[in-house]
Amino acid sequence: MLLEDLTSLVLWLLFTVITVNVVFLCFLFYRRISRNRYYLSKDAARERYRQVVADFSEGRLSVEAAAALFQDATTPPEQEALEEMLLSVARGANTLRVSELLFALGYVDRWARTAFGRKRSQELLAHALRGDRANISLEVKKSYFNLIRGMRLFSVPRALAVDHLGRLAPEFSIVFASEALRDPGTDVRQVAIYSMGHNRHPAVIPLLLQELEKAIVAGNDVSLRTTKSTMISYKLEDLYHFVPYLSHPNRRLRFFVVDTVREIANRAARETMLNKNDFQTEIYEAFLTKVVNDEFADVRARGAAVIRHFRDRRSLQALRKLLEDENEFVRLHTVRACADRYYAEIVPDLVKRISDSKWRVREAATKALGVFGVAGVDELYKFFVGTSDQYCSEQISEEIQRTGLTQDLVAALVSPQDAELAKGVCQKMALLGKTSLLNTALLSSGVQADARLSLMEALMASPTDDFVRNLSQIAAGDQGAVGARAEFLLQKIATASGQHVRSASAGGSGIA
Amino acid sequence: MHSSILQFFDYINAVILVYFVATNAVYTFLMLLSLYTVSLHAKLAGRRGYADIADSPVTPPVALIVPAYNEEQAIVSTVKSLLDLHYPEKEIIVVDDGSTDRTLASLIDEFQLMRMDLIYRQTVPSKWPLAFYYNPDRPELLVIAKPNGGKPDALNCGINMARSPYFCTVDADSIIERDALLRLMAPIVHSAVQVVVSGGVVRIANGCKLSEGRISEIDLPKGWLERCQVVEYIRTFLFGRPAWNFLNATFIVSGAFCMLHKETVMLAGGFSTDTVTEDVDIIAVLHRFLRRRKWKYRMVFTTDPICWTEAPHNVSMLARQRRRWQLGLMQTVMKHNDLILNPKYGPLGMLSMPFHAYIEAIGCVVEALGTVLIPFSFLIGAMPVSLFLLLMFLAVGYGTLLSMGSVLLEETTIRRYPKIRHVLTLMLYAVIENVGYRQMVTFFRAQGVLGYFMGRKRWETVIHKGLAGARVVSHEPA
Repeated sequence: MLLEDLTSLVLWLLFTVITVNVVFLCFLFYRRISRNRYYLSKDAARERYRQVVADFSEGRLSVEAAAALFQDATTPPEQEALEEMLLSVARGANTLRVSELLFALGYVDRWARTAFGRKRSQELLAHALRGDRANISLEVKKSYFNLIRGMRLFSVPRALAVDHLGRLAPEFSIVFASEALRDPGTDVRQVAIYSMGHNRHPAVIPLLLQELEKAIVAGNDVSLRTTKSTMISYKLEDLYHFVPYLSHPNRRLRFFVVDTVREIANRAARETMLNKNDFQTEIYEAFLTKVVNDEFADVRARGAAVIRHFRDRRSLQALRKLLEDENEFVRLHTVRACADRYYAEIVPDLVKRISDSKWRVREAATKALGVFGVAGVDELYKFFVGTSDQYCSEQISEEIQRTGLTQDLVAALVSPQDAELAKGVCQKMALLGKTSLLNTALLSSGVQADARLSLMEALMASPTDDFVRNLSQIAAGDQGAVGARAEFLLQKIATASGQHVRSASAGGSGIA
Repeated sequence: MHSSILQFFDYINAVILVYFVATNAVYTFLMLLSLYTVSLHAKLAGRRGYADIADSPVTPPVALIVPAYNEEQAIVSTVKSLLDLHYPEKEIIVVDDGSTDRTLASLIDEFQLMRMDLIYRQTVPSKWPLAFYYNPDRPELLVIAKPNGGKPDALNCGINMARSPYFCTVDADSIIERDALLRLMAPIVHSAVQVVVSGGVVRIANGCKLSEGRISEIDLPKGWLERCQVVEYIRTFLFGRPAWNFLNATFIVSGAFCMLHKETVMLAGGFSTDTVTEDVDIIAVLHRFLRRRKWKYRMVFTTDPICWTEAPHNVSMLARQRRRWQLGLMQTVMKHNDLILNPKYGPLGMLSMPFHAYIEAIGCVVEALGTVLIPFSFLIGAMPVSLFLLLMFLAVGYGTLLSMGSVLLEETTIRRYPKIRHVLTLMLYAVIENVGYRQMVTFFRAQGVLGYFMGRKRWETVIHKGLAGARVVSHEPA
């Protein structure tokens, strides 16, 4: 009986699996066909509405007229095509008109209903259309349903709806994005924060900072990076809104605000060279008075990177002060901030930092000096030749190699003004065993004969096996002065090593 | 005597039956979780994109570490494709692990690298580098030459030279999609807790067309063996790992393309050389390290970052590969066996580790035994036909459902195969691979387990044809 049941069970299971597999196959065909239809329909809609959207974006059609023409877009592919086309022309003055059109077409209503439910969406739509902000509270309402609503299965459709709403003009989207910050779903809040960044509405800065504070103080399921990325979307002209937070009692919040300002300023500096006139007076004063004296070292450290963009006497003084700061990270970031040709006067202060007690500062100072061109590099070389600090020397030699200074260094070996210093640098590098690039230069046919002669002398400070091999190669291949000198140096090395062996055996103190 | 033999077979068959029922139940559970998590992720990620991460200065820099051993044919195109990756700030560190061919020379020639004497600070153990090659005009690329020490040693060497907070391990013969690094970084950027590992999907590139180190046309391989592997990879990456990620119990991430937090790896001691699958081992090491310190962390697996790699072309190479993987898995689960059923390690200790130890590692021996004993018991009359049918159904029939389901999930979410012909072929092979191929692979895996118990330590070299038709020998230890 049992065996009969088992057989029938197996057969039933087999039948089920085969059926499910067939269903999978059918679904696959269905999906391919439906997707194909969907995109064909979308393409057709695009074609159909192209001219109308162009007319609307160029102002030849009013919102009401366009809404009437688009009323026949009722299927999902048509609506999606239209929505994409409209959002693609939502720039500058058109943003508001496109948003109004999306309201008129009922799309905003649909998205709001998905994101916030029927009742709340009506209230929010009224708020948005009146142009005022929603009743914003960042507290997530306690509800047993939140646990379910927070599940991705339910929160992803809301997140997608909020994403749509976030693309509306800032005066409308702020209402929905602010409300979405109260959602129990992480994805929804994340999308809301990103949409705030896209719109850069100054009114949401306090909300973003509250999110940031939540993340810092109490822990937040939206990451600090997400919120910070959004804050960085703001521009120099928005920095005024950050000023009150530079005095916030929470020192980590102050740090993130200063760091955000730094990122905004750095991004602006990539397009044009900034000076103090690019910053509002409030932010300029706040950095030079409050930030520079903040009790939290991280704030001072990040502040230096903003102060550098002011490029005036006061900023120079402030950077000088920060270069002498007791905290190594402040010195480190200030040294990096000073890597700017405008601050040529600060080179002597940077040279001091090459002998800083902390290696990170020394490394940064070495790199910073490279930025000042000949003046900075000369100072760097002088320090390199003079210092007996092994670690510091290695750091500088790495920088010389990585930044491609070796070529200039070898060329300088025949320059009347720089030859002595250049030779000193080459000798020091030879003593450090950092000769690979110099050996390459020695064999290079592009290097002048005089420079090669000088380089040979410098490398004789501590001849390596590679150097001896190269000398042999030159001696064998070059019939001129360079070859003769190589031959002479080879003999000298041979004699010296012979003497060394003799003296070692006479003294009986060989190294095992 | 006869009755005791029958009793023995009854006993063995019962064990096999329990194993198959348990395995299929677990796989079904994982399948349902994966369906949920993969489809939702695809829906949201497809809409939002990754432009925010690409544009943000907050996105952490990444060092791509490429250990290379005799990769002369592939290395230049791999490096070119890595240089071309869409990512705001990256460094590429190629570690030539004592290659005996022109791997190093071809890099020097192609990228006009110059030998330099750079500072090397050894934080994690590795053989000391012989030389560094760098071009100031290509500051993103650094090549390190070192004596042969194996892949983990080469990775450790790269970590010691990396300057970025995250590093990504990349196989020298792999091809990474242009946005894959951004997609791999997305969960790190969005997570509120520290993400120490982020893994992505690996796909088989056999049959695809290549152009300038990129996949220019996706196609399926011609051979049945490679096609079966394509289905197998889809099933593994879409139906297993996303579910473990959902349960926060990731235990395996492919070393061919995986991002790790450098400082955590350094604190944990780097990659160890005592297993042949350093990528599996490092995950367990990190779990142990972080749990003991009670640090909050996440290890994530995402289905959309895609890395393409070459699969073995013949049975002999496939056998070598699978024996090595199984040996490595055995070494890792035995090395970290105190994690198994250890509640201190949460879902990892209570679910993931027992699954990987008893089903994935040792289970293949039961499965191999079942593959032989089920027909044998039936033929000698020690098993009734109904039980035989049930076991065959569990061993073969149910697998088709899982494989078909994974292909369907691929089609509805990631959709890397453009033509309907591709998907139908995959559906066909989702059935075919369960009859013959899977059993063959089970035997190879069982050999790997036996190898472990016989004290085998070294891995077997897998020779690839090379994606561009060239012969490539995969990385081997010293």
